[in-house]
Amino acid sequence: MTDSVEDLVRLIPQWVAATQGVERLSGEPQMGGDLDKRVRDLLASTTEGQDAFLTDEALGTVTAITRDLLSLKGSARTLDRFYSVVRFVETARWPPDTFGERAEVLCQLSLAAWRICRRLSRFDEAHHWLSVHDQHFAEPSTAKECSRADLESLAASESARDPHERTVEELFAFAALAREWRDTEPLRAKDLASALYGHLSKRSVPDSEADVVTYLRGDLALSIGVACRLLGKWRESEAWFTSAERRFSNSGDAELSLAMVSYGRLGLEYDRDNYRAAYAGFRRLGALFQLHGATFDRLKCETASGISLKSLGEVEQAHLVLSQLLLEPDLARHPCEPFVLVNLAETAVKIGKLEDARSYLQRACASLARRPRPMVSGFAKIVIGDILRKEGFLKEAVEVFREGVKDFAKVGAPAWVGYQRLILADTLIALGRSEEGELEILAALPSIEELELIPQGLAAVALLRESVRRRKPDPQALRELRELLQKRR
Amino acid sequence: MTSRVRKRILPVERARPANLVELDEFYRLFFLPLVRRGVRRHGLSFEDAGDVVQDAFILALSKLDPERNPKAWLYQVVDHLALNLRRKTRRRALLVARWQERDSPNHQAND
Repeated sequence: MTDSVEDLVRLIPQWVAATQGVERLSGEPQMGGDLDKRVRDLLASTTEGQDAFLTDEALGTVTAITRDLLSLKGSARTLDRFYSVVRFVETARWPPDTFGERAEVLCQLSLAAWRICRRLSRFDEAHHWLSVHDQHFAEPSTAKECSRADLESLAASESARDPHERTVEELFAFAALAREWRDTEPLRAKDLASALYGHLSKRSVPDSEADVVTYLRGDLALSIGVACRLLGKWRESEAWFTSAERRFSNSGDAELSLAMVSYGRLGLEYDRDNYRAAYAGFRRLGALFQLHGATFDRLKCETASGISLKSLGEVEQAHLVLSQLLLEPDLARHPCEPFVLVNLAETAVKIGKLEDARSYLQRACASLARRPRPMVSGFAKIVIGDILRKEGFLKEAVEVFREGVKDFAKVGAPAWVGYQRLILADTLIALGRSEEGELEILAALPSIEELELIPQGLAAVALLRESVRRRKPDPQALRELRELLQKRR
Repeated sequence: MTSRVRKRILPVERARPANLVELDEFYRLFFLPLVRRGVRRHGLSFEDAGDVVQDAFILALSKLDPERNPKAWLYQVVDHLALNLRRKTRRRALLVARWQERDSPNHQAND
């Protein structure tokens, strides 16, 4: 028997038939009592047989301790217990985990610790716990699937479901979903986070929840702003960043929260070709996050500064900055790992190191297989297609570029879709398949026109459309538009 | 005729004897994790959580659709049943407190 859904469904009737009137549970773990002693006993219990999986009894003890920790108001001493229990759960060997229980426990504990830290005004630690939460939230679990389904039905309902019914834990999970999707599936993130933001605005908030709800409103505004940016809706993005700043300004952890909004605004600077300002800004922010011990955010800033250097044409320096990130011990756990690798592959291609580029792309694909990110997959395919073109494999490049178009279309990112279609068109025309190339250009133009392009961009679109109408695609116009969109990435 | 009677979705194979090894694994892989969720998330005792999960499995016999996410379905049913149990327990505690106060000597003396 396995932990598969098929076995679950098959055995429910037999279980019910076999256990009617039978006492099912034995050996209930201790509830209540000296919590410190129970935590110490738990940690000591695994010093023998450290390679063994946790027993049912140990799992029951973890559960009882977690329940008791979650019911505490919180003090500095309580936080020490959280650190111990979380470390234990992270390092212990969890048996076959049908429901993703381990991830769920770690999310519950880190959320509770986050709240306690905020109450104690220990904001750097609160930020750390938020990172711990998001790392484990990224792992698959049934709890996360339920949150996703709940958020989608909340967003879809025309008469708003009473937001008072939602617990803080549920709301926090919704916001975590928005944070996860804003970089990977921006259209979905924007729609769902906007619906949730609307619901939260109507919610009357008891004092005990005021801090969390204010934070969540700011966090959702930030997520929507980031998503809008990736969708090419710059003005909307700026408005949401301003809303996030307003929410965060009055909170105790304003510096860190506002720094996260600044990161989003620097992304807009980058999109508007202000690479020098973006580079300087990312460096400054990275230093600030370093000061606060916010490793994950620092890594994001260093990745972004490397990409800014690449766009400034300082390819060797960019390659160096990105290569150094591979030495970071936390990179493997960081969501930006595949993005770093794909950008490294691109810089490696530009400096003529095709073998290195292939190696980075292989690692990126392995990382994406573990944690799918359609936008990064699409970008990887641009680089792979580029390598194939350089090596003369145009037909293979066409297939890869087509796959990339699908990746970007899946997440609703018009700049990427348009750019990818134009590269595809260029390759098809080079292959002598002009008609197909023209179709790709015509398919690309409507989504490109949705973007807030500068006048030269609009002129290039008009020129290209006219040239295709005359059945003679203008290569100059095609190249200009491609370069413009490349900068928009 | 359109039948509105909900047919049993999961067949109960009464005639087939339970495979004890499979049931033991079912207990560890499915039953216990749901019990632990009831304890952690809803503050139930292990015994109450066990009853809630058993009720969820009984409901599953007639209501679980194997084509839709059975694990998520079980999670949601366990959550609803746990919340119902907590509400019932709170209401009972309030009623008991009220009756105890009413039956107390001080209260009777004032009548």
